[in-house]
Amino acid sequence: METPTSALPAQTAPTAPSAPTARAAPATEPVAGDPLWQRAELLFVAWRSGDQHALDGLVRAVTPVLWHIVRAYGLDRETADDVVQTTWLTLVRRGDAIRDERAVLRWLTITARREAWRSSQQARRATPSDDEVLETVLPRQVSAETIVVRDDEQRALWSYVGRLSERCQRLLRVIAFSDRPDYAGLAEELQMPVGSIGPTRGRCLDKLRALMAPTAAPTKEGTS
Amino acid sequence: MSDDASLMHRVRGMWEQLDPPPADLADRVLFALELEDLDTEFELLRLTERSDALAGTRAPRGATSDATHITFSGDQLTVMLAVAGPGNDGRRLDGWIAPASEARVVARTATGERETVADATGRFVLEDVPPGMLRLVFFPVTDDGTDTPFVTPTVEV
Repeated sequence: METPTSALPAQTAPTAPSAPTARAAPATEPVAGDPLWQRAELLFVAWRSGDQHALDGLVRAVTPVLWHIVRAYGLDRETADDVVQTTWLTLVRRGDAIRDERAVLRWLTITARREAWRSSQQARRATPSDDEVLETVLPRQVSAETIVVRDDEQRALWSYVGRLSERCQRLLRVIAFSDRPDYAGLAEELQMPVGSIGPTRGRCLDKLRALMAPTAAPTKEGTS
Repeated sequence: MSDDASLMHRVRGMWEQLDPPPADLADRVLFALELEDLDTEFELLRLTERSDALAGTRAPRGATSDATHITFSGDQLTVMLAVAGPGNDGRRLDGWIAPASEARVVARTATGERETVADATGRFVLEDVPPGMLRLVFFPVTDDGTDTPFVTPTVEV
């Protein structure tokens, strides 16, 4: 199914001038010091110069990030799936317009957000089904291998995050899966100055901490 | 602050674990992109509705409740699709293009293509379509042959 053998950036992007180091890890594995935007750039450059395999690597490397960003808009899994597909089709069709190859990841995430935003507005007009309501409470389709030791902790965190405002949830999820250069796009979309993204994120995290901390409850647990 | 950074890291890990992308999403994207080798421009429809047949339910033969219903929409038209056929058997696709128009209909699956035509009422049928990834491409039949073909996103049937 997965073929992580494809597309080492160092091999597929021989022409990239600013990539001095050879990379030993497959493109699908995050590597410290090798940010996703840079890998995306190398793969994109390689693909543009005719290496079809590089597109394979690019899709596998960036799709999970697009998924999480799209899901930040409260779309159900089916719709999120569709939005991710549309995003890639848009790249293949209109990718010529990308002048600065370093910006390809940002271009992809912004395209995905626009499409997700549009879909979420459409969905809002329809009444949510019981399934969709439930879905925001419980993660669906948890694959077998994810049910491991940390499951309880993760689920608790999931429910705390679910109690944050929609805006906080979206902001945190988009930021969590975006590289720093994406701040400007996010600011534009949430209609706030770039400078206030950081503080807002801080406040959202504070609220999350407050929810996580078992504060001096009036019941028996008198924690400090 | 590193406090914030570590909490962000935890939250990211939580999403990665509890709400991961479908395992085959990248595969399906690549499948969909293959279609881009067609040199014509075409319009991408959106999946606007899907109701899956309830697993395990038995409906009378031919009853519509036994089928998965999928709706694709574009600016100009809508395609409704009923997918029937249980388990690993071939699927039967009953489709309807609205507003009604004639078209050549190509079904792309992981194992090849099937082709049929939609008649003047916009209806078409494809039988024995292998289960799995499916994508439909429509080539409208017009006098001058200039209408833009349209294509659905990839769906699992």
